[in-house]
Amino acid sequence: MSTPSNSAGSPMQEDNGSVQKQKNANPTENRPFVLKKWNALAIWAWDVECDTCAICRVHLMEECLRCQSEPNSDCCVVWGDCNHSFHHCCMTQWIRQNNRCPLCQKDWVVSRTSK
Amino acid sequence: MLFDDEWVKAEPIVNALLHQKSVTPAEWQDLFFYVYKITSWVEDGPQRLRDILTREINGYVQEASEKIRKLKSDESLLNGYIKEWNRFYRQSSILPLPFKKLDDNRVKSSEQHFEPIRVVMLDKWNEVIFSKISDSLLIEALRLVKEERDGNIVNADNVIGIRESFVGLNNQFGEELLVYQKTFEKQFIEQTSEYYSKICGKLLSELGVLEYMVYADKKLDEEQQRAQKYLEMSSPSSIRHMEAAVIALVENFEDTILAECSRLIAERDVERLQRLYRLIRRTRTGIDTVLKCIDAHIRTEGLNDMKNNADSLATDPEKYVQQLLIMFDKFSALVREGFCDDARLLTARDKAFRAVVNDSSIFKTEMMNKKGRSFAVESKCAELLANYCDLLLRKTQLSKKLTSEEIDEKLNQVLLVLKYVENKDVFMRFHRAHLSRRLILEMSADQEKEEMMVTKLRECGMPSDAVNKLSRMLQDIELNKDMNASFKKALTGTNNNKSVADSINLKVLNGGAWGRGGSEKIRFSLPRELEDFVPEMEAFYKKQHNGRKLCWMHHWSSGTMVFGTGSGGRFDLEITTFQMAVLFCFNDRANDKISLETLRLATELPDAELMRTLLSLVAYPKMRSQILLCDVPSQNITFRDFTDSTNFYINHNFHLIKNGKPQQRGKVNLIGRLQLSLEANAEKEHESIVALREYRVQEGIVKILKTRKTTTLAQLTMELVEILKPLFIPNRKIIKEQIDWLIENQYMERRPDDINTFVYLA
Repeated sequence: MSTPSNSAGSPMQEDNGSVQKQKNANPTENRPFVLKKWNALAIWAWDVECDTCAICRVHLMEECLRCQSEPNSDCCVVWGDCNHSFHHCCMTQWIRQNNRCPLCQKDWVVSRTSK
Repeated sequence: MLFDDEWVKAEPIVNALLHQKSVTPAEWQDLFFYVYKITSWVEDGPQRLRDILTREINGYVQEASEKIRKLKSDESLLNGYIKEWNRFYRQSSILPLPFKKLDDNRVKSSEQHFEPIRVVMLDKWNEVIFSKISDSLLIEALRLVKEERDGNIVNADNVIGIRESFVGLNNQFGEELLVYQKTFEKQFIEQTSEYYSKICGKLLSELGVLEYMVYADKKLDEEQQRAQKYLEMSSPSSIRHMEAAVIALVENFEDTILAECSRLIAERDVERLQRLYRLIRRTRTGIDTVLKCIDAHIRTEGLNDMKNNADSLATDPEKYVQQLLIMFDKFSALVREGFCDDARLLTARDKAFRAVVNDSSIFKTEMMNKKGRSFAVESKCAELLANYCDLLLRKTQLSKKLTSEEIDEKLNQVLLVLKYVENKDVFMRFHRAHLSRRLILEMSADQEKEEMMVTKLRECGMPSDAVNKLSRMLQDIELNKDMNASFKKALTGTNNNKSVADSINLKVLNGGAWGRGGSEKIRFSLPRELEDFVPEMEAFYKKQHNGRKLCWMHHWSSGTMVFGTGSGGRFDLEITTFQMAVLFCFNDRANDKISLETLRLATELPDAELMRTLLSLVAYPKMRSQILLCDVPSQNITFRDFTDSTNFYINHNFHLIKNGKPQQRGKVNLIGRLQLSLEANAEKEHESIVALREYRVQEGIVKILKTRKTTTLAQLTMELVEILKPLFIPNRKIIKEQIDWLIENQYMERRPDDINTFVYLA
C-alpha cells in the first residue's frame, strides 16, 4: 500500500513543487488564495479488526474497565499471533484460566504490545 | 511511759494551733514526736489521744460558738461567722497533720468506725455552729448577691465563705455535694431566675429591643463571672444557673429578639448581630431561626443581584463569576463578623449559596434527552464557569492583562465556585472542549497553568476518569511536538520537500484521550491543494507507528492563507479548513459569482457546516469589510437568508481598518468560535450528557443493589445521590426511569408485597 503511493507520489510532488513555488511567490489575480500553512489534524486508533476489547467490552483506545475505576495505571493493548487484540490487563486475567484467544480459540501467543 | 507526761508537753502546742497562735518550727516538729511516742508506746495511746483531741476541738468550737451567738443582726452575724470560719477552716487542714498516725490506725482497726481528724473537726463545727444558723446565713449571703446585682459593692468573701461552709461541712461519703446542691445552689439559681424575671419584661419595654440586647449581653457575662465566683463549679448542676439566667434574660423574649434578626442582617449591622448571636447562641432553639434568616437572606439577595444584572452577566462569563464571588465574599464576611464563623451558620451559608449557584430561574440550560423531551432544567453556572476558565487560560485580552499570580488567584476562585456547582459533569465537559480547542489551535496562554489546573481539578475531587483524560490530552500534545519535528525532518531530508515541510504542521492525537470523534467526524471533500499532502503524512506516520490507522479530523484543523485582493491588498487569513475549502473554490474564478448549490457540490460540506462557514465569511462579527460578498440584500445576514441560488463572490475591496485608516496589509483571524464543537450543536451535546448520566445512574443502582441485595427506594435514592454527587445530582425522574429500565431488563425486580423495595437479580 505504501510503496505504490510513494512511487506514484513522486511525479505528482514535482508537479506540486512547481505549483508551490508559483503559489509561494504571490497570489495572482486569477488565484487570489494561496496556502501558507496548514495545521493538519488526525486521530489515531489501533488498526484492528474489532476495536473493542472482547473481554471488558471497552474500546481499545480507552483504559479497560478495571483501570478506569482504579486511577494511575498503565493500560495498554496486546496482540496475539492470531491478530486479535485486547487490553493487556484483561488478557492477563483471562489466560490464568484459559490460555486461548477468547475470539478464535487458538492458543494465545503474544505477538506484540502497544508499549 | 505515761500518757499524761507526754500530753502535757503536747497540749500547749495543740492549743496554740487551734487558736492560731504562733508556733515555732521546733514546737511544730516536737508535736509530731509526741504524737509518735504516744501512739507507739502508750497502751491504748491512739484511742486516748483521739478522745482528748476531740475534747480540745469541741472546747474550741464551743468557744467560737459563744462568740458568734453574741452577734445580733444578720449582717454582723455573717461577718462574725465568716471570720471564725475562715480561721477554723484554715486550721482544719493544718492541725490534723501531726495526727496522721491516728488516721492511719483508723484504717487498720476497721471494726470500729472513726472519722479522720479533719472530718471530726468539720463535723463538730457543723453540729455546734453551722447547722443552727445556716438558714439565716444563706439568706444573708443571697441578700449580698442581690445587692451586687443591683450594682452595689459587697464583700464577695462572705458569700464565698458561706459556699465553702455548705460544700465543706456536709461531706457524707457518696453524696458530697448533696446538701450544698439542695440548699445554696438551688436557692442561688432560684434567686437568679426570680431577680431577672421581675425586671426584664419592664426593661425590654423601656429600653427597646436593641438596647435591651446590650443589657442582656452584659448581664449574661456578669452572671457567668458570678457563677465562677460564688458557685461550686464541680457540681454538675451548677450549669443550671446559666440556664436559668438565659431563660430569664433571653428565652423569655426570644421571639422579640429574633424578630430583629432579618432586619439586622439586611442592614449588615454586624455589631448588633454579634450581640444577638451571643444571646441566641445560649438558647436551646433560637439558632434555628437565625439559620432561616441567613438562608433567606442569601437566597433572595443572591438571586436579586443576579436578576438585576442578568443581561450583562449571561453574555459575560467574567462578570458572572465575579458577581458570584463578590456575593460569596459578602456572605462569608457576614457570617464571620456577625456570627464568629459558627459552624452551623457556615453550613447554612454553603447551603444557601449552593442554591444560588444552581438556581435555574435566571440562567438556565434545558437538557433534552434523545427523545427530545425536556430532561432537566439546570443552572448555566457550570457552562459559564468553564467559559471563564477558557478566558483565563487562552491567549485573550483578559489573560494578557493579568499577571500570572492574578490568573492563579482567579482560577482558584473558579474552583471555589465549582465546589458548589451540582452539575459538575457539565463543567468538565465544557472545560474539556475548551482545552481541546486551546491545545489544537495552540492558543494556550501558558502550558504550566494548564497542567496546574488539571492538578487542581484532581485535588478538588473531580472524578478521576475525567481528570485523567485531561492530563492524557496534555501529555499527548507533548508527544506530538516531537512527532511533528521528526515529520518535518523526514520531509526536508527527502526529495526537495522543503516547501511542504514549511507549510505543514501535523498533529496526530490519541483517540482514547481526545474522544474517538466517530460521531463528531464530518465528511467533506478536501480541496486538492490540501489533499495532496495527505498521502505524504500517512506514509510517514505508518513508517513511525505500525498497526495504527489515522482518522482525519478536518473540522478541527486550520491554517493560514494569503489573500490577494484585486485592489492590491495582501492579507494573511487564519481560517479553518472548511473556510479554506470554500475559498479555494474561488481560485481560477476570482471574479465569478458562485452559487451556494455549487459550493455545496464542490465542498460536500453538510448543510449546517456549510451555512456556518459561509456566514463566517460574509458576516464575521466586528469586521467592517468581509472576505466574501453575497447577493442577500439584508443588513444583518443570518443563515436563514441563504438559499441554494444565493450567489457568493470575492470582495476585492477587502481591507482592514486600523486607527480609522484603511489598511492594505494585515492578519485576520476568522476562526473565532467556529471550532468549539459545543457551540455548534449544544443540543447534541446535552443529549450525550443526558445519555451518559443515564448510564451512570444505571451503573450506580446496580452497584448499590449488588452489595445490598434488597433495598428500599428511599435508601437507594440516598446512596445514589451520594455516589453521583461529584458528577451531578440525579433527580427523581431519572432515577425512576432508570429503575424502570433495569426492571424491564431484569437486573432487578420489585418485591411483590412492597413495590418500593427492590431485589437484585444476579
